[in-house]
Amino acid sequence: MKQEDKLKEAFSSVAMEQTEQLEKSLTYEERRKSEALYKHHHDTALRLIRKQKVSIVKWVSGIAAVAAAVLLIVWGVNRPAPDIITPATAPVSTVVSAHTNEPLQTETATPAVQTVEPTPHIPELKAHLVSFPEGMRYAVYTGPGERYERANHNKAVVSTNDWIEVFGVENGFAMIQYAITSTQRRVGYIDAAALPTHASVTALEFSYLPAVITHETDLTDDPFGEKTPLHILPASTEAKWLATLDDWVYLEWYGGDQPVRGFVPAAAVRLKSAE
Amino acid sequence: MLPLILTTIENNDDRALMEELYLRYHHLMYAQALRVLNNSYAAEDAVSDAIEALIKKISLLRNMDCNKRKAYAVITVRHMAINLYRRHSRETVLEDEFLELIPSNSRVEDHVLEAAGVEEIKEAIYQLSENDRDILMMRFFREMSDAEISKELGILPATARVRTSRARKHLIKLLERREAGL
Repeated sequence: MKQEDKLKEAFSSVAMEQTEQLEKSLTYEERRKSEALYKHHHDTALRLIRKQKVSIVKWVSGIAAVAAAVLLIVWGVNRPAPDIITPATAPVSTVVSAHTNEPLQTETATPAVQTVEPTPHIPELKAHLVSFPEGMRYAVYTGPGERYERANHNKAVVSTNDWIEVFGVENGFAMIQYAITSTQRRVGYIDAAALPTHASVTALEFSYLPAVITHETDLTDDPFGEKTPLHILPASTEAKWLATLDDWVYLEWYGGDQPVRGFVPAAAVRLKSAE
Repeated sequence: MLPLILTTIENNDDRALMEELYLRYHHLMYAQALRVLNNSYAAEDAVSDAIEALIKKISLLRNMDCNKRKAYAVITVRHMAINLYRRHSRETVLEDEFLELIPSNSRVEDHVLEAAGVEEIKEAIYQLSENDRDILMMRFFREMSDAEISKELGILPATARVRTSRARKHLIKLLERREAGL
């Protein structure tokens, strides 16, 4: 191996090891800070874009109205004065388009108004810590019901001795996130009866919009940890878009024997347009 | 939200690559920058600078697997963060133009590098000082030219050459000592 290549390979390996160490050593608080920072920018940028869209629509409408008015004035000025002639010989005066030679419509053109299609409402997932009575264990499913797949070869279980975050409840099941190891987490559902009586949780409302996978990607129940795949979804796979969580999309998929819910990167999925 | 600078990339494939890179690794990049700078605004600046630097290396990134690409992004933002830290702390960096180059014995260097395996070189890299490791990382991992290194560090190209050369010699020395059983 050439010396230069040896050095490149050695430095490359060191760089990857250092990155792996960084990733593993990130504390929960550091991850939350990074995610919160990104979300702040995301929300601010969205607000600015929405404001801009509205002002662009107004601006375009205004320009179009002025342009239409100018055209009408020019057409009015250039229209030849009508001659006093007998009906038999009256020439037909028609204004035609310079491009197509087709007669222009005589009714006043209405200014083009950009219709902005209403954006479908896609909820954003939010969780908060809930204090559970210690010493209990509950089966964890990937969706709100026992008919949904259960991770870890049908053995996924959560212990209430460590932290649990709750997103909300659906169909008698609570959507939670918990830590399996220092680097691995899981998002899943447990029986809502496990929630402590003092817990204040909201009902989950998902969008269930048809979606399609744009390129092969992993479906994971651990978007903020090791991203362990539940399934590999090939391109063109159809699923239901439920919600978003930062740069992840929460999907429901019916590929196997049981339905399963999980996360895919936002770049790997798009809403399916109506046919 | 994707940085606006990504919209300046004309090629669709390149833009898609950078968008995916940003979406996948921006958390890690922020976290790395925050660790160096301990300031969220400065960390954002470092990430922006890193994205700009990464765009210039799209052709290199395209040929990397995802782990290497992730490491490239993280190391780049780390270097940007260190540069920002030095600028903000008004750390005076002496120009090394007056420092002499360590006399070179390229035959010995060739022999040492030829005899050393990749694992041995890696161990020596970990023993280097942070400054030496960073500049060699720029040269051999980020594949930056002397001109690019000098621009990023805000030093003269000659100084970049001297520093890279000195760091490389320190690495060779560590390998020599290892070979000699020290």
